Amino acid sequence: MAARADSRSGDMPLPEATPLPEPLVPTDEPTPSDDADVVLRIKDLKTYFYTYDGVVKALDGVNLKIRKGQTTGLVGETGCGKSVTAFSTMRLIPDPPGRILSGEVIFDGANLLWGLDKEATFVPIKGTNRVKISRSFRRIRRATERMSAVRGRGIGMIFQEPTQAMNPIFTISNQLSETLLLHRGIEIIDGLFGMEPTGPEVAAALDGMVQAAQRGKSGDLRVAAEKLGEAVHLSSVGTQAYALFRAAGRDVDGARTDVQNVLKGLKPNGLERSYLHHRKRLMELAEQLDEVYLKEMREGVLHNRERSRLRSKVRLERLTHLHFGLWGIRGRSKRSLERETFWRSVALLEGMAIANPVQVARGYPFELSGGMLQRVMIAMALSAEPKILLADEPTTALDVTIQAQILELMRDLKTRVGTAIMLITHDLAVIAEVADRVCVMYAGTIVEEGEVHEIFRRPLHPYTQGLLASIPRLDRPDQEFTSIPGSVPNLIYPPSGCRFHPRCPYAMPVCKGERPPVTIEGDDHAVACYLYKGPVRAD
Amino acid sequence: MSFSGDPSTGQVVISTHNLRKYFPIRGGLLSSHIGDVRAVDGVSFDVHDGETVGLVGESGCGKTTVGRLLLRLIEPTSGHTFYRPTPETVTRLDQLYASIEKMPRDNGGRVASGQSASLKELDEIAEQYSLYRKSNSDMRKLRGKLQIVFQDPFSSLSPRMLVRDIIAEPMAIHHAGTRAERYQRVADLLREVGLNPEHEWRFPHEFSGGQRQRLGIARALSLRPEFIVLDEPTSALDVSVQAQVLNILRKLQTEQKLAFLFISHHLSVIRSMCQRVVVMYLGKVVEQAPTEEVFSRPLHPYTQALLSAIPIPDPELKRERIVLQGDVPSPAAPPSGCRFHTRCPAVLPICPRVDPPLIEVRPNHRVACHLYPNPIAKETAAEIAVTGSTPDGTSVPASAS
Repeated sequence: MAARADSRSGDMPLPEATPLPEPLVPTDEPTPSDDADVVLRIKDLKTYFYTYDGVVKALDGVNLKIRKGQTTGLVGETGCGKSVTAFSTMRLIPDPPGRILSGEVIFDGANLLWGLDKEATFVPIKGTNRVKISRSFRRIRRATERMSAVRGRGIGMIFQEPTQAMNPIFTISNQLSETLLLHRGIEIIDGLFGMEPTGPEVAAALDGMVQAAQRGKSGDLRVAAEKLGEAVHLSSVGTQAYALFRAAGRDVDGARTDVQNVLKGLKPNGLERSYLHHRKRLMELAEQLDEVYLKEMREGVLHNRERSRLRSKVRLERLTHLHFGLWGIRGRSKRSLERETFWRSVALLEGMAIANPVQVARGYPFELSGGMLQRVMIAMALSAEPKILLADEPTTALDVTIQAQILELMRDLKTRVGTAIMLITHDLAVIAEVADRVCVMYAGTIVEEGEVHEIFRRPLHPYTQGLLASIPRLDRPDQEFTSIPGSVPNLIYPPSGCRFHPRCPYAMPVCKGERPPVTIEGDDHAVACYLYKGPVRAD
Repeated sequence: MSFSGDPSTGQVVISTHNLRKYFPIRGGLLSSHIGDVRAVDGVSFDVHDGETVGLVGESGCGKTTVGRLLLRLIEPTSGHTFYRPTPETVTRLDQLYASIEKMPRDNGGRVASGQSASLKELDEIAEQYSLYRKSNSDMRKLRGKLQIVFQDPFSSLSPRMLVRDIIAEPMAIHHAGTRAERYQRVADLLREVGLNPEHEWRFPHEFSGGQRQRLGIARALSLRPEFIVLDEPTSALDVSVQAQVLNILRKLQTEQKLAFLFISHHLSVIRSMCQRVVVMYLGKVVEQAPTEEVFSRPLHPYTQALLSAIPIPDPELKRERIVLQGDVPSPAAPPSGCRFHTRCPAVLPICPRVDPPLIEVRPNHRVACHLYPNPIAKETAAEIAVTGSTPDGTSVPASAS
């Protein structure tokens, strides 16, 4: 885009008075007791896009809470800012043209948007309604680096279009291994050091597998393979042995020899061991760096000295181990680690109910269907065991039958792993199926939120009512289709006051003036509409 | 294959029989023909005046290809689509196809051509009514009667043409009326689809998705068609806007007695819009029945799974669902026998070997599944089962019997 060249000092058109970012307060205030289970809290988030046509006010003060072990649905029409909310949370908004103006995203006591006000300055150009943005790219880069402490292990994300989110030139196992090494690397290397591939227990477990294979029950074989993994203290051996026995079919003795060969070559040799030590050291340093980043975001203070000390340690570690980059050593030194991550990624795929995980792991993204790739994406996001999963329209590109599979999987994850999920979708039926709470978005603001049964039983905001009425119902086929007149407003020139008033059947003069406050209308049910006169919510 | 038993519908507009479309796969050294993608593999149904027929299935099952074949936007590999056959012809066609199915076949499943009087008669009827036998100039005259609304309203309208020119273009091509008359009709059409006649001076980019889709509908209506293929007209739209488009389509149909083929994967929309439903799986019709029948008494396991997979927008309603395992197989190498057997929850030993014929198991309710082997007492249907040849013409392997 041409905007890139002059974005440092480019003058962008601005139709109204410049919204200057408000100074942020460090968030050391004690959290109230009812918010104990809130894992992610978004406060007054504003994200604008500075385009040539004008300033697109994509998010205009979003407040959101995600609670532990709950699925929060974010629903609304196209272009109402659902995805922008998720991308802003992860700081993935392309900057320029986008800019998070103000707000707080509080995760694990840390404000992910800390330092926002220093990243760019807005200078109005005299005599015009335009504004000059000068960005400090150094600060923006540092803020992005800080996010590495949160992305993946803290907050995971599933993207809408799985075919575009995967790298086309690497195999599925390559891409899963990368995530695994990044987030679970130390655990993986420790496992490789701690295993014991010989001994009577291992032999007994292998005999158990042979017997199970002779009985011909794949369930028994699976259990026996897991026992082998336990005996070796390396679960990936179990996965590999299971795959070998499955591939061998009736040739049980052949499979046994294969597994014995695998066990023989399992112990890392000297070169591999020294490579593992090197990688582990790098991972530990990266982990310490993440700690520093989190500390910076929690305390709101830069720890420059600590950070640069760790950086130079990383540099030194790399310098003293340059020989691992040499041709001939590079491949050999990685061998045991690659074997381990490959079989771990196979196990991950197995967990996603993929029928032929080994084949899928060896394949490239283009060889898989959309539903399959979406499962790989979910496996990738979950491999880091995130506390929160942001799922951006995970089933929109899929068929209903595949959608049912993915939704089943997500429900299962919620109960089994206890991950908090933010599910972004435009399909209220999907929300009804999996969500516990719903937030309805319209034109960059949340207009109604509450518990899912409550919202479907007693929708208060006219927009929510319109959305619910417009779904064609399978169980009520004869009803006339109702629709919301008009369409989503242009967010460069959003309507004044309540943004829904031009389409609202109950619009009153007051709606055009001020933005309606968020009022509490019952237990865990809040709405931003002048029709309701409940107590105003604190935030 | 007519539904002559249903008196509520009018005359047959479009009647398609044994429609097949194989897309060749080329590869190897001299890019020789190494296989086929069997996109459509023996599809038959009728569409009557003032009726909406729904075509449902997962992506890649050949829905869109059927729609394009019916308008002869692409040429079929085999099969016929008859345009406005007389009622006598319709009954005659049914008899002819039934008798052709019973004929002895060679190893390739073909009937030796020119040997049978029925084949000759079919050829004569095809010469008269089949779209695929029409000359280019005849076909062009017919195109005004057969129209299509495309799925994606963002790529189906030229960004460089004014709305009035987009809508008037079909009329200009067919020399319908004078210039002034054409633009007068554009204004009428815009009003008909719920847009402002002043919008004719705008460009498509000034409209939202729902409005663009209405422009697409106005363009399809401009030549007063009899039959419109609606290829997923609302799947690119938001629910709140979808309703506007669906209401317009309903209104137009009651006013103008249009016949629609409504292609969609959205079953809730199909239920509200259509009188009859054709369910496709991997290029074949697996079930075909009046809408109420399909939704209240789905027979084929695939239809049952498809229905149970739809999320219901009501958190209070929790129900048991059939979740199908795996993906749709590749149409380049479809499974043997019944194509659904790899994912079917109720698979029988016979399924991987024999392709089940589409038989009428209840009045007007046809299903292709081994779970329902006994057709209702109808001479023709019974004979198909006895001779063991499937309606699409492939003979059953000897191992099956």
